[in-house]
Amino acid sequence: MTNMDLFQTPRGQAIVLMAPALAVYSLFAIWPMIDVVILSFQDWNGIRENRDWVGLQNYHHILYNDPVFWVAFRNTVIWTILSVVFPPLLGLLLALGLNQRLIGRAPLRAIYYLPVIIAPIAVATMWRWMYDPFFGLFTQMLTDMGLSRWIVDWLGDKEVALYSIFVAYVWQSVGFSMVLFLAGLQSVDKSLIDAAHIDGANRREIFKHVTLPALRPTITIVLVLSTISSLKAFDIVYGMTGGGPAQSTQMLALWAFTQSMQIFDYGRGSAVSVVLLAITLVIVVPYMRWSQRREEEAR
Amino acid sequence: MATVEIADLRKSFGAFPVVHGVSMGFKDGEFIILVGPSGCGKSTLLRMIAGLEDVTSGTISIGGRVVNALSPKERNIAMVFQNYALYPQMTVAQNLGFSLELSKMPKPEIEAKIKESAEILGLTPLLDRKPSQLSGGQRQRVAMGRAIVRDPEVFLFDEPLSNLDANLRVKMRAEIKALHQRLGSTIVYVTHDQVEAMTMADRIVVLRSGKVEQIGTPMDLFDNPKNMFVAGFLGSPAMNFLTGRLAADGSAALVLGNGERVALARRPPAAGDSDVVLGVRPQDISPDPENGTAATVKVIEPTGTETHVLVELAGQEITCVLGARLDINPGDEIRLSFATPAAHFFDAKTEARLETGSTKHEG
Amino acid sequence: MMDGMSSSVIPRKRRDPVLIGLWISLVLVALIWLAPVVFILFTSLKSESEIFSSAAFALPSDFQWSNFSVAWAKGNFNQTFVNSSVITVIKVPLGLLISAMAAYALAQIPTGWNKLLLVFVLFGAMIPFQVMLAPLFTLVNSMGLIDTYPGIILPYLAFGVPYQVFILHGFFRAVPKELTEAALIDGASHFTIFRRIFLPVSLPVLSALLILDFVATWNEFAMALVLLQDKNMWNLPLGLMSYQGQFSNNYGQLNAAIVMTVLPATIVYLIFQRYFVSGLTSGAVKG
Repeated sequence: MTNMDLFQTPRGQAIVLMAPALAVYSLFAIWPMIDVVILSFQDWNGIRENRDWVGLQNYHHILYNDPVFWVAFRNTVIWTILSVVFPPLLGLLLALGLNQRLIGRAPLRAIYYLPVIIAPIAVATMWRWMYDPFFGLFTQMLTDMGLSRWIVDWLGDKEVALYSIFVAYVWQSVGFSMVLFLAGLQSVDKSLIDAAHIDGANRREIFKHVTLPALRPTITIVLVLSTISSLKAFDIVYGMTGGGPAQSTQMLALWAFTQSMQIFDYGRGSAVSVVLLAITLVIVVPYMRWSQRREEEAR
Repeated sequence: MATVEIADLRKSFGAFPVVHGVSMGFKDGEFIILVGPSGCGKSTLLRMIAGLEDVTSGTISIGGRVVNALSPKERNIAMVFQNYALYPQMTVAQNLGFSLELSKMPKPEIEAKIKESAEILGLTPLLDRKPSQLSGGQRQRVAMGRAIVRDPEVFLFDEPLSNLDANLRVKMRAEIKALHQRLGSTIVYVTHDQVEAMTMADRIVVLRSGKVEQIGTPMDLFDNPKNMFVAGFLGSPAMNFLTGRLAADGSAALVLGNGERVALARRPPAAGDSDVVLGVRPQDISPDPENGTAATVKVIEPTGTETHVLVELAGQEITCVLGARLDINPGDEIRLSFATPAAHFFDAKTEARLETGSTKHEG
Repeated sequence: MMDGMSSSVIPRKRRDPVLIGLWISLVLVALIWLAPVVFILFTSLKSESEIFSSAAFALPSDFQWSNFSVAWAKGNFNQTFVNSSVITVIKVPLGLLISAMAAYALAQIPTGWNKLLLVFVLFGAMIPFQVMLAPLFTLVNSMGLIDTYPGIILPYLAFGVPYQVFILHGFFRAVPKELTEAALIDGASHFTIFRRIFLPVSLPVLSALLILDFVATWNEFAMALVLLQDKNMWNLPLGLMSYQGQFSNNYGQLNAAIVMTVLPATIVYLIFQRYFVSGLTSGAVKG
């Protein structure tokens, strides 16, 4: 095909239009994903010329000989469950409230959404300072209220640290769920609500029989997005504890990074990545199927 | 201005054929209307002429030149879409001038062209507006103006009036016809509305399931339909069909399923063994209290100038158009005569008409 | 049925007690939500001694603007601010352009491969790039692009494409195909149709995505951490992280550093608030 032809036919024009995005996407997003799978079967320190094949050794190591992996795994599961429950639930409550005709509803929405646009690393820094065991916000407030005995080393206590980080994460992510739910609420058919009113339904019944069914697709979307973003949890943990104390807040994404980029064991780091990738796919693939079907039905 | 020749044209979407080898020729300056129920392939045919759909096999020629492999812009055609497809962020003037601008026509010339076509269509006061500020009829005119400025060899219209309300549709119908007379260009026009086809076309192409049923002038199709489909498609209210057998005694009568005899104006040639279908337009049925066939009145719809009466006759429903003021009620029995020379006879199996030639000269 | 209606049929002007209770609780929670921001803002303006002596939410008695200038100098903000700006200013418009081009082609030019390609692209929106930091480093390193602007901008582009294509494809597909066909008949190429018709039509969506992407790019940390090793190439989040590590003993200045990092995105958010919501939700929820 000559240059002229390529620019003349619709197909050629389509290729020209798609090429930049597809090229950069394939090279810098898809290839690393393939490479991480390859690396997980290899032994490499990131510098050596050769990447040696070692079969399943890396997986064997992380599954049987690496206690941190299991801590990270457990934490990721806890974290994911918490983030699928709390931010969406709070977001839904806020959205339902802010969907009413209330004074100052716009500024209220703005306030709840504000943390979403703050850099996660800045959120980490903020909260780290608020969690300061001596001068931080929480310690000060509890002292002022005469509850000093409740003060703990928020980020230094192995039992508490993960949940302390999670509180910061909730603060940051609730606005996101809220906005999605608010948009979902716009799609609730107003005439259905009117009809329910005329039929004598009260608030709770309207919510149960009209609003909730209409929100079902939104709920699915919010839950899936919450799951995915919780699996990605990296910046906020890195910034607040770096996985400490004593690896008690280690997560899969962070542990993969630490193994590869700080311990220079690319094989094991990649094996951790692949585990996380597999978990993600188990959630994402059915979801994409579902949304594809929904799109086709809508057409 | 040009002729359009279509030879054995076929189109399949995947394994699914939608146009089954159609052939037709349009003369220079002719107003051709492709009509048929939805899914008959008429829009696909038009879009193939436009170059918006690939041709599976066969050829399309415009002005004697085979255009199969040409892109839409190389075919020198213009098209008016059902939803107008005006460029939303451009003013009316920019919409009209877009194609000329793309063809690198000098600015003053473009402006002159825009001015000219705007005057033809009465768009001059609207030139600076955006499409969103126009009414449906105005948008329709802009869409036509966009076609006119290019002096195309062929105009293609894809159900252009479907989105307009009934009154406006009647008005635009007259405008399009006047425009055709003024420009004298070839027009291929797709619609599912047989009234549009009857009122505007020089010739009508009736399509069904991707095949041509009949091609001819509106009155020719109306008077001499080739088969039951064409007969039933044109005319409003639609033609009635009564199925029965020709009287065994050789008289001009049809015997219905329940033994009832319906007197005819003439006896059609026998159709072998199979049943015969009598086709009568509602307007051709008249009350005949003495010799008519008995029927039960079911629904009465007065339109003011006339009355549409739905009756039941030997288990078959028949619509007839009777006088403006009638003293009948649902449930009444009336006697109707079907003995009109304008009746048609069809073979019940093949649905083809039994007589050839013009019925008007017979009987 | 009748007796149930009789009570609610009587017209009355009512202050719904439920709504009032709701409003009060929403305001209270909003105050809690705002508290960390206020706390950080106040602390950033307090002197070191005042931080330890005054209550957390007491207004600063004496505004220590010097916290900001000192933190700016100590944290090498000159450099990180420039880096973040350069990266964002190049990445955001460029990313939108290539995404819009691809989305247009996928939505409006039938090639037979569109559905497959779309799924291929959307797939990326769901995959956490945090998983691929190591191979990404390896790749960029093998190209010799570590510690360069292209070395960070190219991966940013790649990971921005899926979401933006998703949103824009949804938008472009909703445009009737007749618009494209009319333009094709008018003699336009797909390049012209994209530039002259679809770009102008999609300006509102594009601006929403522009602002969302500005914030996302400005805030990005994980990839920068891996791909920008040289202190002089760091972006703002990296600078803040390192600042916290080195100078966390002066809380006033640390909080000033936080405020300075967060401020540009916050200002953009407050100005273009409306667009955030539409940009986020146009693809995700409706449809």
